[in-house]
Amino acid sequence: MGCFFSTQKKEFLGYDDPVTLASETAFSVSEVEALFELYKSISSSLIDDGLINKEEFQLALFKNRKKDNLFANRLFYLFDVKKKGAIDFGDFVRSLNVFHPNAPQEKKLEFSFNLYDLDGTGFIERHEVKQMVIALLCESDMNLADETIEIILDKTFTDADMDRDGKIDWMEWQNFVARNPSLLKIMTLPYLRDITTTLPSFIFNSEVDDMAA
Amino acid sequence: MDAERTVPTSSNFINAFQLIAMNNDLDLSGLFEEEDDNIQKTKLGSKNTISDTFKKIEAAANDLSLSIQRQNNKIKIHPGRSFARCSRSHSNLSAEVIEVAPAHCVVEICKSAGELSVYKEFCKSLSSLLTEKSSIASVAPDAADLSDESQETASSEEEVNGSKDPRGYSSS
Repeated sequence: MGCFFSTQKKEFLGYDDPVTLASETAFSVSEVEALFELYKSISSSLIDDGLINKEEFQLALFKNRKKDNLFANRLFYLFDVKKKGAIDFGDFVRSLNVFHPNAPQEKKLEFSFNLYDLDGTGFIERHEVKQMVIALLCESDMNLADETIEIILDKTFTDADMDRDGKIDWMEWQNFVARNPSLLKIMTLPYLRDITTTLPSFIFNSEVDDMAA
Repeated sequence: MDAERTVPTSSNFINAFQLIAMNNDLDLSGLFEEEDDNIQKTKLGSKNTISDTFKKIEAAANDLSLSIQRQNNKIKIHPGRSFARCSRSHSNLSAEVIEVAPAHCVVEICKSAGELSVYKEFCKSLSSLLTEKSSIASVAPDAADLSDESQETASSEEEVNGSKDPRGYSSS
């Protein structure tokens, strides 16, 4: 890549040129550079190899609060765009881009569909939805009778599963979300609109100033 | 029907995906936040209707001499005068109620500033009120649940007079 980038960056596997990444995403060049600072911090937290592995990803998301869990696994899988078992910088930026307030709706729809399709069959199946509902109830320490959960699922599938085949396909998901736009709220992180000011200050060092413009 | 509201109005059963979206594991903002003891969140289950759940939140706040301010499905909780000794007077504690099924709600208690002890006491107080079967609680408003519905209007008068009386019943 450009010889004016510091050598430290060249050592990072999967380091992509910020200008390229900025052109492909809703982030500006300096925002991509700010994300690189965050990326460096996360990717070196357990193993200093320039990549984010599953444990480092979980640590960054949940700090010490959570062990292995349903969504962390699925999120990691989706962030690992090239499916090589670890998230590189390009994967990181492109995946976070989906959560940018300015990212296209289509990308958010696709990500959320893949997120909820836990076993990757291409359909969001009833048993998957049930699994995710139960995960939430456990988090709230809440006991809902199985019967009540089934009623919630029935109602959801009556709304969403138009061909009544017991699963939600991509078309049905698009249609369902169009009628319930608040479902995509989790797919937007307002933080991302102005990363250079929202990132924790400990991550910032003078390296950002050292970079050529 | 307002699609933006997370609380269903016509139907009491929440949509499964709205429920799933409440899961903290889906909140990526953790990537951008330092470990901050200031921010605490708890979810509690409530086997009550939405209005009874609100009553219990109010009761829990009253028990700790906290004042409340309700905005739609969210209650903001402020320290009362007894907590004036805190050097940091700014406190940001709230409880949001989301109806999941006709007599089931999830209460999300969130603290973004203020004393940890207040937050913990409030969670504890609310948790025990929520898990109580009958309502022999320390605060009179729950006493209304013991009597049958025809006596509810009479009990509400007692609430006004007898709210500090742990025995709940005042003769009227």
